[in-house]
Amino acid sequence: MSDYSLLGILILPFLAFLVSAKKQLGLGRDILIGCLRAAVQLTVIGFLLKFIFHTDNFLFTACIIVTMAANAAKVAAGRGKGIKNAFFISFFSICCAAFLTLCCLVLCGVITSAPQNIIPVGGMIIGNSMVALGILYRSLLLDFAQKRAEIETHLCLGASIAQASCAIISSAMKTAMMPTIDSMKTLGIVQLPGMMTGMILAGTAPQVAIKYQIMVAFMLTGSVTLTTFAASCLAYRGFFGMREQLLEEK
Amino acid sequence: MAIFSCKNVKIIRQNNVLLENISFDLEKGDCLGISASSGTGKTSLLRLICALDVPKDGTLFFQGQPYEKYAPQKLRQKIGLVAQKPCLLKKTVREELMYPVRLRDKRVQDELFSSLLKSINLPDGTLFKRCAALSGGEQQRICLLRTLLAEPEILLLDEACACLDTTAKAAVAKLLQKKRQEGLTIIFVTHDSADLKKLSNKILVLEKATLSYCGTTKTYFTEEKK
Repeated sequence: MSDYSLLGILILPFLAFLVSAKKQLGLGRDILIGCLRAAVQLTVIGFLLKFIFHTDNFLFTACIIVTMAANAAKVAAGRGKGIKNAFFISFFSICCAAFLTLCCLVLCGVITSAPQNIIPVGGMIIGNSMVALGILYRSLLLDFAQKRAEIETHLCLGASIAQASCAIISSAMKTAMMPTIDSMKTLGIVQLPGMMTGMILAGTAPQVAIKYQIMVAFMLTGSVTLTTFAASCLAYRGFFGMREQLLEEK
Repeated sequence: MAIFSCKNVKIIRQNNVLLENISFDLEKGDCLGISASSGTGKTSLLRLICALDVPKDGTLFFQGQPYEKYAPQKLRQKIGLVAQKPCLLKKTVREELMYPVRLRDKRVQDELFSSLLKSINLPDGTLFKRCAALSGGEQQRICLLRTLLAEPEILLLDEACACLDTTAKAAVAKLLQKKRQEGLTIIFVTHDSADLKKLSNKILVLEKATLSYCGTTKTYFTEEKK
């Protein structure tokens, strides 16, 4: 694909811009900023990745992964306003999930520890974990606000805060994990996902691309589960005070 | 030694003083009736007693020890609350009654549930009914049984008999008297002076954010006559 071809497909976001203007959606500015940010950020990361792949330094690779995790945690924490220490919980859960999943992939020999493997795969894990955390936080905030009477009834019967929050945590985890599981169920019959499509477009045989896509599906299911599990275990405590009393909504 | 004491407690809600200088003691087996008009902080006081809230000022004592000395969960296992609005957590009545028993890693036979249901004027078949299919009064009585099955030492009733008919109310009163004789301490909130006279041996009246009366039921009704 030439640079001119890439410029040519600018017509598609321009179309979105026109629809937004016609229907008065007020998204024109966001579309413009989104296009500019995508182009600039990806160009910068392209040069940075070239440098990192060339140097093949573990520290650089780790720095990139941690920076990605921090940015994802910031976005997820934004969705979790009202959750105590949302940034640190998000950062910790994303880092744990990314580390464990990447270790598993490297130890199983699916990918090597080279930066050109770790960084893109790590990016997929972190990105999907971030989306799942956003859904998890919204579900937790909603349920803790709406089910105060239930939680306090559990507490009054002598349940611990973990027992009192158990149903809410399970429901939030389920809500956060469902999109990943649904997407895994429909792979190949509803959608040909990004990675597989990209590899096929780049000339890889479909049989090889399929193997990688299966790996991605399994990897995301595992990492999203780990992230939501770690985050929910840490986040629910923030809804209770020092004396394990359910705090008032802010 | 008093089973429960409240010393100079102050409750603040949304920057308003709801109650202040609240002090009283309860001995084991006492039945304290709290009377006050709506919005005077009765429910807030009960929430403090069962450790669902923390007082702004003052101290609460259980068996001579301040609340802070106990782990909150341990404290809540000793003090049960039946809220004004019934809140059932499980699908069937049996599961509901089994929940507090399971929390304590204990086992009970269905026969015990049946006899308890009978004692509050509910038929045997209620045990296998869906909670959602029960009437408000039935739900309220199941909430009471569930709390009693948690074996508390102090039972708090927040207008828990408000939606019961006369027969059910009499059955509940009989069960509570029996439990009281076994050593259960009861604190109940009511607007009904007949309930105060019949059930309690101590009365606490809240007025204008403070205690206007705290003493025996006998003295309260004697003074009222005058």
